[in-house]
Amino acid sequence: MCILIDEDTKVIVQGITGTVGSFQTRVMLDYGTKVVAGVTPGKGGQKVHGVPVYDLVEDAVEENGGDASLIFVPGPYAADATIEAIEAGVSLAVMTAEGVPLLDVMKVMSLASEMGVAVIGPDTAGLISPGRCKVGVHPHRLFMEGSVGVVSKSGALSYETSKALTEGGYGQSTVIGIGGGPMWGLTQVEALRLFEEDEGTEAVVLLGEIGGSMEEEAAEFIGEHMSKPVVSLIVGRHAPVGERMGHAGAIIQGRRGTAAGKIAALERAGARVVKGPREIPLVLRELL
Amino acid sequence: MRLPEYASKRIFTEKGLRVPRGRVASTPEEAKRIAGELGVPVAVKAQVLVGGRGLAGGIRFAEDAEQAKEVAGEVLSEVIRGHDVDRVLVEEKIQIDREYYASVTLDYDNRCPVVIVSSEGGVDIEATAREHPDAIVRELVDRHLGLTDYQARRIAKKVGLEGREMMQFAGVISSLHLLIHEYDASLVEINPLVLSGERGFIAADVKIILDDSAYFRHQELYAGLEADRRMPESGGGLRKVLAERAEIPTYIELGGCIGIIADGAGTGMLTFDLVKDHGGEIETYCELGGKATPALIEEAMRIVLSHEKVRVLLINLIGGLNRMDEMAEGIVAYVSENRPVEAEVVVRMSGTMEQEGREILRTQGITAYDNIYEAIERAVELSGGV
Repeated sequence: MCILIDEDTKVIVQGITGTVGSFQTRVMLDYGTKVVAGVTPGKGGQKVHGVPVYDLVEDAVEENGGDASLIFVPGPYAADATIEAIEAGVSLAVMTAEGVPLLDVMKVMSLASEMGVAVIGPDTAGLISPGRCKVGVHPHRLFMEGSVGVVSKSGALSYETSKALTEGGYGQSTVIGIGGGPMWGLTQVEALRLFEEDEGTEAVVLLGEIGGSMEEEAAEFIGEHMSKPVVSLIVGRHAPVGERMGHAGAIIQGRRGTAAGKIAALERAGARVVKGPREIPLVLRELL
Repeated sequence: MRLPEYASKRIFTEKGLRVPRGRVASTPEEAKRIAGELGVPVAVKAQVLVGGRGLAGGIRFAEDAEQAKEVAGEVLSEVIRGHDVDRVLVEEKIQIDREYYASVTLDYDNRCPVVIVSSEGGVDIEATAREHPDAIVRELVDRHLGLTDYQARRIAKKVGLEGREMMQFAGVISSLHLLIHEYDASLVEINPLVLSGERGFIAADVKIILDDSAYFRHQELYAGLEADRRMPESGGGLRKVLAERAEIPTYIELGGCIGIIADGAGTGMLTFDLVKDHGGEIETYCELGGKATPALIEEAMRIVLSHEKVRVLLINLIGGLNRMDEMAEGIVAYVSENRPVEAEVVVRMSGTMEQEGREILRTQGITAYDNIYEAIERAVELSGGV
């Protein structure tokens, strides 16, 4: 009924004793997420909101199990923390940090693909299967359980869109923020494939933005492999050329990475492209 | 961050890569002195961080020191694509037998470095890629093995080189690959890489872009660049530098009258698009990232509202990690210290701790919108756009 995480997912929080890690752990526990352990080097033996804290991920996993790790470790140390999680045997690692050096990201992703671990991010809000599990920082009041899958580069845009879906009566199966790039673990194509295979997902919303060529690749996948309807919103339509629009990956260079190119590719592939979130439930009403 | 040409060339020289002899000047007299010391015809090159500088008149030649002074005076008074020229690089004009292109960058899809070379240098590589794709050689570098010497030789052979020249070219691309790792660069490029008689290959123009995420590993280099930088005295240049110093991820000025502050790249761009769709004219686009603090939004408001052209400020916040109570504290701190705020301020707030945030704003008589469209329509209406 959802992808990657569900009500049985056991979650480890790395960086659990920090301000953000501790606050978000509280929110996740309230939501019903099974946060089984936390990790902060040097703080093993403590407890945060009743969750035991360990020095090493491997100890946390050995004693409590652990399917997914949510990593609140800052950019300079995030790659090492993710490598630790991968080697400790989790099957999903979520890198929330912005500002992870690209060479470090390359190292993490190459290990992850060797080990068959899904890495979300970096620079991601994480993912949420509404009503079941949240491994991220989403304002969950805006979300509702249902059957629309959402994949987004931007976390905030996925909140905005889920808010519009919820208000329009459409709940979500899983909402994934893949991160701001310019290098990603899980890609839009991989998320689309998971949604296509998921019985609980009836339609998918693809939220993209200027820069790079990921949306073009997603369009190709939609054209060739998706049987479920896809609605897409591409932001940065009016962005000036050559300016980095916030995400490291969001820049139009010359003729590459424009919203127009991405929109054309998606429309050719049969996706319905809208200009803003409020149109999405209206289009779904036609399609479903 | 893109390094200035002279700083990139300094790094190249340290690594044993050959560049034209020369130095930086900020006055015509200095340019004359440098040209005199070089004692040969020179190129005078504007040190601005924009592409297409040559076509815009930013590269000029001089036969002797006197002419170098004259030409430098002209270049130093130019404005190239909106950038004041405050320095020129004066360097020997080199003999050109052939021009090549060579770069190493990061391939984001394959998550490894990639070498790109071409026998057609001195022109825009993107244009070559479109018009003569066969003239470009592109090889991925194994992340574990690095660029092996033989692979570098093979690449050199593919652009048609042999013998001593092939060996030298291979050496150049190996050095570029090392620079990527040593400096956490996302691009190291030579265009053109000039084959110059007996002297072999000379990197006539070079570009290094650093991955700013790795700032913490290169603090000395950044400190040096910062110390070297001229601080703009006023206007948009100053505001941009202030925004950078406050670690505001994005600050752009465009030429309208609406300012946007958003707390996420995706919703920032959405706000930008929808304001334009509704007929609004945007002057300032300021995006705070998803992890803002009260101090950051307060500083962002100070910078954006210090610009007299911004008559309406639209603050669009939808928080996950960002807490709306904290954002509201920052907004209230600015408003209460800067009464009366001349510009109209429209706030939209949703997400984590939004009830608490709304309460805090209400104490200052600010009512935050919940719906993004209503906030945008209001902002555009106040700006007189529609």
